[in-house]
Amino acid sequence: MTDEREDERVGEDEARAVRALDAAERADPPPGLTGAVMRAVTAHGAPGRQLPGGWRVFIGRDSGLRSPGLRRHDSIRGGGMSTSKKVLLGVAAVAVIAIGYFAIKGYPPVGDGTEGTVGAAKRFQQSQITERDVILTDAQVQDVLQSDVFRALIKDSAARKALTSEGFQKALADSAVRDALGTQAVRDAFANQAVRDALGTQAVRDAFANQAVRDALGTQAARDAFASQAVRDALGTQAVRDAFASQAVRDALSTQAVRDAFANQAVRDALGSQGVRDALANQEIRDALGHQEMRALGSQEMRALGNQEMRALGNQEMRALGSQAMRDAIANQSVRDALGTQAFRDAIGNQAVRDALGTQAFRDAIGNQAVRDALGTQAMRDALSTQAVRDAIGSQAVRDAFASQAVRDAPSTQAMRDALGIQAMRDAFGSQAMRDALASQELRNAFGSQAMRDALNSQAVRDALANADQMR
Amino acid sequence: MYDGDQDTELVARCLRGEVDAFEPLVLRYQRVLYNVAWRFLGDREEARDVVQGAFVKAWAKLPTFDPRHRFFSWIYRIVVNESLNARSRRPPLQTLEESELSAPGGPEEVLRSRERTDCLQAALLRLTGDDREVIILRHFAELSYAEIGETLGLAEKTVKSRLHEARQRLGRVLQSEEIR
Repeated sequence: MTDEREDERVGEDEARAVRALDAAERADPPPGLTGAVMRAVTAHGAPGRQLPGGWRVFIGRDSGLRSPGLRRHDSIRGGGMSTSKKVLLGVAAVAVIAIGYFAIKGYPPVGDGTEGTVGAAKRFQQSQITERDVILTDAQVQDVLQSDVFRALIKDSAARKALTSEGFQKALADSAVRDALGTQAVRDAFANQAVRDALGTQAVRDAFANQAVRDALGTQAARDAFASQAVRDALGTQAVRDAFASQAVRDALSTQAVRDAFANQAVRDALGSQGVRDALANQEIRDALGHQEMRALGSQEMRALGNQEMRALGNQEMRALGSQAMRDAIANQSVRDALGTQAFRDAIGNQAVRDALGTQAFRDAIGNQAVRDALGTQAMRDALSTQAVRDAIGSQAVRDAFASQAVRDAPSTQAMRDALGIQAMRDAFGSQAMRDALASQELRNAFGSQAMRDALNSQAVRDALANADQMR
Repeated sequence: MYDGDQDTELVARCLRGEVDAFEPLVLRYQRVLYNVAWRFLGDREEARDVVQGAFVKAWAKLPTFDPRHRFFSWIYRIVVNESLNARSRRPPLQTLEESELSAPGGPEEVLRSRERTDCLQAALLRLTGDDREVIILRHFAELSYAEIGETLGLAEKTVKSRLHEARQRLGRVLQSEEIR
């Protein structure tokens, strides 16, 4: 009995602890932590060099903020002017400059006729109430101006620069943007240092001047996206900022498919992956995003981008998206359908298939209409869902075969293309025996043989393939 | 939580002098490490400095990192060591700011208010280092048992039993705090 009571008591103790732990706050890292680390690391130079003696002080000064507790420690350590005094003097100097600047220019600087909205000191310059005044008294904007986030923004030089830019002013005149500003997600995003830093770049400012971007900001999907930590972090990277500078990316933002994609958590998370960021840093991919074919992608296929397998795509493979062949492929409905299937996603999750995607041979193959149509067939999808086929794609023999001019030329012949398009060939891919054959070492060896490659290139084999349908 | 292969690749790029490759590592682990440092130290600003310093130190010492181990386990150890160093640098008794001494209700009220604010934090700080570590890794770093084992160099079974015991002790400390 005593033991039972003891057990019960022990259980209660643990349950109490778990309840307290579950209810405890999980803190987000302070804004600017990544930026401060990266600045310190960049200043440090290549790894392996010894840290300078005063590196702690350097970091503290870089971050600009020290806790009261740490200030006490600095004072205890002593030595010349304390860090706290230096920080105070620095803050005072910035404050004096800022007050001086805003005393002259007003804060935030406003355009003609918009004084009533944001320039409290000039509110009564307008002699009559106009339509603009109604916009300017928008409760949501007022709410933002009075928020802690806005106070944080005006303390931030990059954000100040952005707020006073022409692009942002134009954006502010847009009701969709104003509505967006009223949401908690967007406010939280502004509280994030990476987002504030992004605002300071010319690319993001110009993006605000773009109607497509402004419209996008007004959608629920964009707001939800801002609520995602991955999207906020992504905004802090150079690649994503540069992407905003691209007209193609801005135009892409205006498509429903891209907006739908942003509504998907997986896509947002994908933005946080290095592969996707690297891809966005590539001009070919940015251009590809602006193409009509890419825009034709439905939301379901775009969401495929958010899959773990897709994220595993390396830089080289993602760049394949920039090729004309890939664009043409994406313009094809059967390829688009294939993108939405689990089999295709699983295939992308396979390293061998990913490697294959990066090769010129694959791009050439995808440039072929018969191959594209074949991709749309159930048989081909089933084949892709087979591990043996995936492995075969990744085998050296098959890659060598693709690298062979003879094999590459083969699909360029009408006979071979027709062959791929015929029902017999599709049925063949649908057959377990064919899949097993692809997985066999013998077939791989055959592909590795020059004689086999030559045979594929021969007129006789091509003729045979051209007649396969009739033979059947 | 962590992706070993990707981390290894990023570390290799860093070692080739690609500074940008370090950013994804910072982005991936800053939240977890910040929470770990905060719960070890009980002070957010100090935690920020510790995490910042740990990342810079990791960068500088990257050539000594053994790629057979997880990057997270390595930087986690740096954060824990830096946290312990930060604690040892603290003065023996926490003093109150001048403004707190003159606050309404006096310094006693300030202290009582601090205790109420984070009873759990106080209880965590009363545990042994081992107990605190396993609880923090499970509940604040949200690592799996296997990941905790890998980070601390313990068998998964040992992690489970240590966590069970640590939570029991935490529960008892919390109860005694409530009674007081």
